[in-house]
Amino acid sequence: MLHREMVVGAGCMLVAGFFLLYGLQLPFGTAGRMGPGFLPVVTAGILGLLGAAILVQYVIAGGGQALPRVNWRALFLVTLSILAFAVLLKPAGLVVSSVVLILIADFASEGRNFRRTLLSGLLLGLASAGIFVKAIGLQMPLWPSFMAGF
Amino acid sequence: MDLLQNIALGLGVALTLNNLLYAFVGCLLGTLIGVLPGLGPLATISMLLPLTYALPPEAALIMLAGIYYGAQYGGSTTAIIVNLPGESSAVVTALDGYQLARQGKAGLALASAAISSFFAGTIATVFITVMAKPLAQVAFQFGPAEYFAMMVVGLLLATVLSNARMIESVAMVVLGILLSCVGTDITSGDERFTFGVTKLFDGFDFVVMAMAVFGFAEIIKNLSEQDQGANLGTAKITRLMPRWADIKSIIWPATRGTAIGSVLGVLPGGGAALGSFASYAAEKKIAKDPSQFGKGALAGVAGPEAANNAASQTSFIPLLTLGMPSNAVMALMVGAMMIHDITPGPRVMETNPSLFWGLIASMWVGNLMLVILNLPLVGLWVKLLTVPYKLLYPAIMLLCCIGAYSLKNDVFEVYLAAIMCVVGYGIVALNLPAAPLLMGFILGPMLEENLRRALLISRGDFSVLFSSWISLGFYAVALVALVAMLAPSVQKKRVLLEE
Repeated sequence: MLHREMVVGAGCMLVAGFFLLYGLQLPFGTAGRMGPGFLPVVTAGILGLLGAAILVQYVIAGGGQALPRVNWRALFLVTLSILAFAVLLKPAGLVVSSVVLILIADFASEGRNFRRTLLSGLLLGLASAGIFVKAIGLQMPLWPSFMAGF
Repeated sequence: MDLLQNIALGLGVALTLNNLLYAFVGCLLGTLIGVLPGLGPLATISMLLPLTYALPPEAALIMLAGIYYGAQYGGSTTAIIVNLPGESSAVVTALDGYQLARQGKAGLALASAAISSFFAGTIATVFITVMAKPLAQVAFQFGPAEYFAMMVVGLLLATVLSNARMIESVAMVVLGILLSCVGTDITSGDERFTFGVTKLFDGFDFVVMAMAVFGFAEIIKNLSEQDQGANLGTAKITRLMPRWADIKSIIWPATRGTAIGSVLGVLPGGGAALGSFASYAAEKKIAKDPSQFGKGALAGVAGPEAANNAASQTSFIPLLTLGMPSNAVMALMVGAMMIHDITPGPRVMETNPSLFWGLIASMWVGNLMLVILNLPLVGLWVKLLTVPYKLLYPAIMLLCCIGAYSLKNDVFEVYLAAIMCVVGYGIVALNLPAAPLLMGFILGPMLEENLRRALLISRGDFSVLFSSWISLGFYAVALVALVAMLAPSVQKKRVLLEE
C-alpha cells in the first residue's frame, strides 16, 4: 500500500532529479566564481537528500499515514475553468470569459442551478469589468473582438 | 528629539487624504475578504496585491498593511461569532470568544477583542519606532556572509518553528529556492530551466505562486470537505460598549498579551499565531480560576487578541530593519516592495524616510480605523458569512484570474496559475506546509546573491561563512532552537498545538 510519506519522499527525489539533470548542463563555475548552475545543483542535491531522509524515516517507523483522497473532479474542473478563462480572455473579452469560468467552476461543487450560476457569472463579469477596467484602468478587452468599438 | 520628528514625519505621510483613503480601503477590503471562510491573510494579500501595483510605493504598502490587519481582524470576528476562525491566529480567540457569544455576550467579546487589539497596536507601533534605528545600525555591520547566515537561519527557524514535521518544512523551503531559480540568472545572464520559453525568462511571479497555492489549491481542498460553513449557529450581537468593570478586567490580560506578542512577533517564525497561543497559555496559568477558560473567560479573548495584533505588527521589524521576512506574510511584503524597486533592509530608513515612517504611522492609523470600522459594521460581516461557499469560490477564482492577468497584462500568467494550481493542490492535499515554499521562493534570489558575493570576496573559501561573530551568533541561535525543538517534551506539545 502507498503511504503519504512514500509519495512525499519519492516526490522530493523526483523533483530534485529533474533539477539536477538540467542544472548539471549549466556552467557550474567554482566556489569563488559561482556559475548559474551552482545554486540549483547544490539545492537540488539537498532536496534529494531530504527526500531520502523522509523515506528512511518512513521505513524506520514501519508505517505511515494513509494517502489523502484526491478530489479529481474539483481539481480537473477548477484547472479547466482557469485555462478556459486564459484562452477566452483575448478573443472573447472579460465578460464572456468570466461567465465561462464561473459556469465551469460551479460544476466542481455539489448542487446545480444553471440560471442562478449564469446570473451570478454575468453579474460578477460586469462588476469586475466596471471595477477593474473602467475604475482601476486595467488593460483588458471587455467584449468579443467582433464587437470592438461597442 | 529625533524620535518625535520621525513620528511627525510618519504621521504627515499617513494622514494625507490619499493615504488615509488607501489605508481605509485596505482595511475594508482586508476585513471583507478575511471574514470569508477559508481565506486567511496570505490568500487575501496575494489576491489583492495586483490592485496596489499602480499606486505609488507609500500608498501601496500602506494599503497592503491595511489589508493584512483587516484580514487578521476579520478572522477574529468570525471566530467569536460563529466559531469559525478565519486563520490560525484566531483559533484561540474562538475558544472563549464563541462561548461568550453563546452566552449572549457577543458584543462584549467583540468589543474586548477590538479594544485590546487597538491597545496592542498602539504599544507595538511605539515599540517599532524605538527599535527600528538601533536594529538597523546592527544591520549595517552585515556583509554578504552575515546576510547569508541570517537568511539561512531565519528560513530554518521560520519554517521549523511553525511546523511539527521538520524535514518536510525544510524540503519545502528548498523546493521554493529551486523554483526561484527558474528564469534568467542575474549575474551570468544565462537562462535556467526555461526550456526556451521566452515568457519564462523573468521567472515565475511570486503572486501567481501565492494565488495558486493559497487561492486555487485551497479552494479545491475546501470543496472536498463539504460541510464548510453550513448551518452555523450565529450568535446575536448585543450591546457593544463594555462596562467599566469589563474594561478593568481586560487591561492586564491585554497588557501581558501585548508584551508576549511584541517579543514573539520579532522572532522568525513567530508571528501572530504563536503570540496568541502563548498569551492564552499564560492567561490560563495565572488566572485565579483557570476552569473558566474555555467557558467564556474574557481574559482568554483579550490577551490573545492583543498578542496576535502586537505580533503581526512587530513582525514588520525584522523586515524593515534587517530585510528579513519572519513569516510568509512578510515574504509577500518583500515581494511587494521589490515591485516598487525598494529593497527591504536597513537602508530604507535613510533613502526613503517618508515611506518608512509613513508605513509605521499608518499601522497605528490602520488600527484606529479597524476599531471604528469594525464595531459598527459587525452586522454586515456576519451577513457575509451566510453567503454560501458555492457562490463564493467562483468569485474568488475570478478575482485571482484577473489579478494574475493584470501582473503583466498577459494571459501567460493565467496559464502559469493553472499549472501551479495543480502543483499547489498536490502540496495542499499531501498536507505539506505551503508557507515555507513561498518563503524559500521569495528569499531564494537574495540567498544566492549573498552567497555568491561572500564567496567571491573570499575567493571561494567557504570558511568565510563562519568567520565573523555575527554569523556564528546566528548559527548558534539556530542550533539552540533546533535542539530545543527536538526535545521530546516540546515535540509533544507541538503535536497538540497542531491538532
